[in-house]
Amino acid sequence: MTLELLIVDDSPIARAVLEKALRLSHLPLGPLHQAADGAAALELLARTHVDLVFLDLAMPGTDGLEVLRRMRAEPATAATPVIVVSANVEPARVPALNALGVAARLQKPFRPEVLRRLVQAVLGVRHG
Amino acid sequence: MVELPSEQIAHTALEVLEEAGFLLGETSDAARARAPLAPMRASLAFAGPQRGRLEVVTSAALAHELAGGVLGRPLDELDEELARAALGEFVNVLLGHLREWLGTLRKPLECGLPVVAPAASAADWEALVCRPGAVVLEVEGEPLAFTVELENLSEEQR
Repeated sequence: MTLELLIVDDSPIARAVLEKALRLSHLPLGPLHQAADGAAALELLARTHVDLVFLDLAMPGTDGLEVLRRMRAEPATAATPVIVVSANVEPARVPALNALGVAARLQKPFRPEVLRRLVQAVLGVRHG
Repeated sequence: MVELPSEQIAHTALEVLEEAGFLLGETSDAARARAPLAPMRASLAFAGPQRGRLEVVTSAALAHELAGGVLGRPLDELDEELARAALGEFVNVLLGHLREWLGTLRKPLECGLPVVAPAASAADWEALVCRPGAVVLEVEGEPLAFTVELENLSEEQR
């Protein structure tokens, strides 16, 4: 089994760093999709099944919280695991994120081993 | 005006640069007089228990170094968009690390989106390093300065 993942972040460097860390993670990766904004992410999710979404919260236009709300309102993505990736997740926001079923939070900057452990914990997968 | 502890936030910035981009630096009064070549400016507004703006000015060369360090790619493979994005990520991550000094108990800290643009001139550097509380670093031989400007809020606004 390989993992089909989606990275949603408006920063090209944040997407590149996450992609690089995933490629180095020894996780069993399949297609790795990227979206530069919330609208593109929702469009991709409407036609593609992914096993896990890495979601930035602060994006122009449709932000991460709105993406999360719309995902949860769609039966096809209501249960898709989401890891929020952010430099600025306020403790006061955590209950709202938990209520929307966020599986985990990844604080930037992060190390590849932290990312690997997080994905393993969320999806119950082992090294590829 | 609320004062932030300059020494500690300088230390935090150096940790972020080292952890995210493998870049080494130190605080430097000598760098204060050296306006960066081809300066770039990044800023990030925030609101919450404190309202204000984090502003960084450094050289395009250091922004490229940062992108290269973050991505582990040689500099000749990097374009200006990636350098700008790297500087934007730096202010984003730095603000996240400075949160403990900005107070978050009553209201969450709401951050805007990083804005990165080439600075207009060396005058931007001079204006920034002259502000009270400006932190000036020398990172991989390049000058980098930043300030955290805070508005005074009334008790009700807090």
